[in-house]
Amino acid sequence: MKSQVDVRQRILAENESRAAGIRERFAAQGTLVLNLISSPGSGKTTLLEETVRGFAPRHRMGVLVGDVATERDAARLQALQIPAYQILTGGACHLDARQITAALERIDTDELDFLFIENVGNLICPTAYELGEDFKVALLSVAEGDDKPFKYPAIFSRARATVITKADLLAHTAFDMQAVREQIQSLQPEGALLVTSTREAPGIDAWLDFLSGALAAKREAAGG
Amino acid sequence: MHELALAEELLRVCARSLARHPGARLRAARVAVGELSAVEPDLLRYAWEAVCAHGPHAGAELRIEWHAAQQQCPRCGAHAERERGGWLRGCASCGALLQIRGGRELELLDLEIELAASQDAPSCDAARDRGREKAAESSAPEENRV
Ligand SMILES: Nc1nc2c(ncn2[C@@H]2O[C@H](COP(=O)(O)OP(=O)(O)OP(=O)(O)O)[C@@H](O)[C@H]2O)c(=O)[nH]1
Ligand SMILES: [Mg+2]
Ligand SMILES: [Zn+2]
Repeated sequence: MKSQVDVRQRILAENESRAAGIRERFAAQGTLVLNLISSPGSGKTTLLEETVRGFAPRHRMGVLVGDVATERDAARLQALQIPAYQILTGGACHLDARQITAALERIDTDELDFLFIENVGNLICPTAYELGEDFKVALLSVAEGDDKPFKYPAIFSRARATVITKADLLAHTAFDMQAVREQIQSLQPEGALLVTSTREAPGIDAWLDFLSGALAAKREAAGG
Repeated sequence: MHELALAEELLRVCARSLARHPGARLRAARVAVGELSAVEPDLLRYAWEAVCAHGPHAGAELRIEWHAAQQQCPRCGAHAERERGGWLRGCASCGALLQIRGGRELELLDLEIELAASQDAPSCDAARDRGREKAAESSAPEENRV
């Protein structure tokens, strides 16, 4: 006999409840947790290196970085004297909350102001997985082209901030910043758009200011 | 290509629901997939077939209910008609920048199962056993509550 069973459950409910646990832990200690997502080579690790240089010793920072097979990115960040841990996904195209929970056993995150999670270089797969972050940040490098937000709407509609990287290349491309601004506004009306270069002007001040503001807002909301 | 990981997770969620109907066979699972869920329906279907093959649920069908995202005008409220995957820039009536809503679904809706023969016409004993099972279930900490 045939029968129908109602379920009505998010497919990733288990990941989401694990992520909620991580979020709770960092809410209690006032650490701002960001999940950085972009295609390979957009400049995630470089931006984090410059962020550490710009914020130390004012802020304490830690990084978890997902990579398919190498430990290179974590080594780059450890060289700057911050706790950094490489999560090797063994071929998987995204991080999930279980991997974050396990990685948090391996580095000391108790006193951090910021915990950055650099996701596996991929604009699609990481989008579906909550990692316990306060919010997602999407990076888009100038060389990738100005049509990407509408091509990858899932990530750009979820990201609270989109960071345009490698702005020093604007002079060499036909990248239309206004077109990107309009796509972001359509996908995520509250989203911030920050233009950066780690090579020359405009630098990364807009990004650092955004981070300071987000940290202050989180702590203020928590009554601290 | 996270669809394979998703299909495995989906199968686990199905199996948990199925466990409440001993001996039942899974015939189909119906899922809601939104346009902004970062999931490609065809890839999810292939992945589902792959994770079900050779197991107790081999041949179970995956029915995908597609939910398109909506583009709406924040100024005049008009809904924009558009092609799947194509996005419009401005409102056709007033020119304002359209806003995108919805399309984030990624949910198991329901299962179609084939009950075991003994469940077709439950004897008093079997019905009583199932009642007891239900009671035990609701007192146990439920890990897959929504
Ligand atoms: N011109 C220019 N190049 C940059 C800038 N930032 C990073 N790059 C270069 O872009 C390349 C990739 O940078 P990474 O920081 O390794 O990129 P990633 O996103 O971490 O890469 P994956 O972890 O492999 O996904 C490197 O060669 C960087 O030197 C920039 O502002 N301007
Ligand atoms: Mg990197
Ligand atoms: Zn309008």
